Amino acid sequence: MAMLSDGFDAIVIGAGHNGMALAAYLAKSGLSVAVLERRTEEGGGLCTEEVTEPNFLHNLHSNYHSLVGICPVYDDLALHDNGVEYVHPAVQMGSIFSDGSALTIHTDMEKTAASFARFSRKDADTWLRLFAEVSGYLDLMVRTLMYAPPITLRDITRALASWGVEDKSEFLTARLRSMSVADFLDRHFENDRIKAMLAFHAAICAYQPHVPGLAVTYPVLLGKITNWQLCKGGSHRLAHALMRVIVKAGGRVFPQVPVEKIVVEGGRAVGVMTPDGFVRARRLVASSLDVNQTFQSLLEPGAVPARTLEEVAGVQYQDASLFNVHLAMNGLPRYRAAAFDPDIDRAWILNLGFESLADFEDEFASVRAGRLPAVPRLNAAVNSLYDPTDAPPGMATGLLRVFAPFALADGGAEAWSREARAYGERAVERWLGAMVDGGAGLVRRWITETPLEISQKMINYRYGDWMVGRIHPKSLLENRPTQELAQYRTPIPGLYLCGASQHPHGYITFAPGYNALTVIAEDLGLEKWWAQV
Amino acid sequence: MSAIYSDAWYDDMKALINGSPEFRKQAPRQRVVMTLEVLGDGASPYVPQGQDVHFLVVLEEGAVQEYRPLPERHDGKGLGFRFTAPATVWESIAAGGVDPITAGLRGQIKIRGDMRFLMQNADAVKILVDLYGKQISTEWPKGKPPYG
Repeated sequence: MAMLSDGFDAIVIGAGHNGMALAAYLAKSGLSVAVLERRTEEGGGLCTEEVTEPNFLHNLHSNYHSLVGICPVYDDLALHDNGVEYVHPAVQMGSIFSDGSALTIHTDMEKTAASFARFSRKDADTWLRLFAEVSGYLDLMVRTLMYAPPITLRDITRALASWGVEDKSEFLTARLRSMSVADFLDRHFENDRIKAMLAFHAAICAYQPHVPGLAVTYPVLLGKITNWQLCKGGSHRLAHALMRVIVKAGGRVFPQVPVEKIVVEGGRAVGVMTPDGFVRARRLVASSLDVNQTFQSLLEPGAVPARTLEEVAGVQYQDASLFNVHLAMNGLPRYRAAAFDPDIDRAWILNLGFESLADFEDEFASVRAGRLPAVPRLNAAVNSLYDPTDAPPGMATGLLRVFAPFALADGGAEAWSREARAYGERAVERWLGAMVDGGAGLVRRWITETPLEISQKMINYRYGDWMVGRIHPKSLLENRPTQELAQYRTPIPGLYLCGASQHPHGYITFAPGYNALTVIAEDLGLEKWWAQV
Repeated sequence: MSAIYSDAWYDDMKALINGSPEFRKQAPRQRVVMTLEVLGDGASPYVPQGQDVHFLVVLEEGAVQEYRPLPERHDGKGLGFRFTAPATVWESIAAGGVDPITAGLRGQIKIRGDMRFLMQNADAVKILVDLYGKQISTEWPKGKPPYG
């Protein structure tokens, strides 16, 4: 078995899902590969821990996997044969409104349309046309916009214009480039609550509904609205599967081996320095860390062109993080709104508090101002509804998330230690308030996780940004993280970028790792066994 | 005019494309190998259900170098693109009854390959699909789509 001192063909820094996927492909291509990980466990955001009580499995970060069956990595690496099992909840998400009504989104679009029709028949019809249209080109869009190194938005819009797509589509128009998700919803839908439900879906994907220009990617998001899946036994199972593939292919994952420096000799990346000494990389080093760590902490300033450093220093992060509450519960919640729509009790993900597009504007304005609303608006998930193995028999886990500032107006990020418990109580109270009998006796124990704590545990999530870079037209595609670094190569030969700082963004997409692989394969002349046309 | 899927039909198609000054102007210079897969769907009288027709198109230096039927499915080696659709869809496009871009948008044609290349050569793609759909003169000995 290869030791660190032997050196490797390829060294991947960071054992998040992108780094591990890249390592697995490279190992299966015959390279000797090592993944070096600072923490004691592989997986990065694929982090499942018993943080409340024993045998209650909580996904601390990655919880929703919406690219299963779409992302090529699952099949290429045979992850389903290596211990990963997914559950596809029939009621994907729902909203409970203050008047006791509810909306539900199902894997069965006819059921979704029926739910929408109770609020607006016209919107239900629009929804069916929209979903049918998007379903037609989703595969093409995903392969073009996610699982390929980025091309420019100009190239994309020129192509769509050349092909006359605007005349052939009800929903794809050149105007999407300047529209926000909220603009798109206002243009096509009439009912506030339906718009809020659809905007909620975008918001929990980190697409803030009022950011101009994000409508251009909204069709891809919408196409996946029925594909939110739950990793059975916890998201960390996916990390184990990736590790299994790497090891089977002869690669190694080394936990508790933090990389202190990327070593550059003669202008080329030749290895890394760890507390145990130098580890040689004969062909490449790939960093899955955020671009700031890679360039500002791991490389000597003299090794990087000044212009590159300047642009990296200007990389922007999301202005909204998450405040999490993880709950151990004595059973499943039952909502009063089930009297209106019984399916709401089976909704995996729940919107509680966003009732119009204006609510999102208000929410993100508060976040940007560093304020905590008196009544938190929640994104609640009960995984045990669909995966009872994540809790002792008859019991359940719960997850509440609230968009939150990294730094509070009064006291900055450190002030979270003062506010967390009280804000957590407000979040739990709000949730219980929507339940039958106020959810009496349901909650056993809960703990909070603040934006500061998230960023301290997951150091890639600077400022608690789980997308590892803002979701904004100026930070997507050919601009992510900077124009110079957008193609996964760096100005330092032999050094590549494969983390969520890169196109397309964070989340369990595998796309940054997969796209880095495409570029590395071209540079190294690897046979692309995974990309047979 | 040549019968669909006949050798002469493939030759006509090649000549038509190479005779287009617009295509020669817009076409990529590098070698691009594509295959079209026509899947028997039970409606087409030309491709029985369960059987497939495959043909190969090779572009290089702004012209079609090869446009010919294949005896079997391309194994993917050296292939840049694979376009797959039911026979009725392809034949409806060739008959001018279905717009190929619309068929692509609706997922009726499955496209495998680097979409970035297609987008970056969008004008050439447009000319090509227009030629295929609107200008090829085809004989339909067993009837023309839409099929009853």
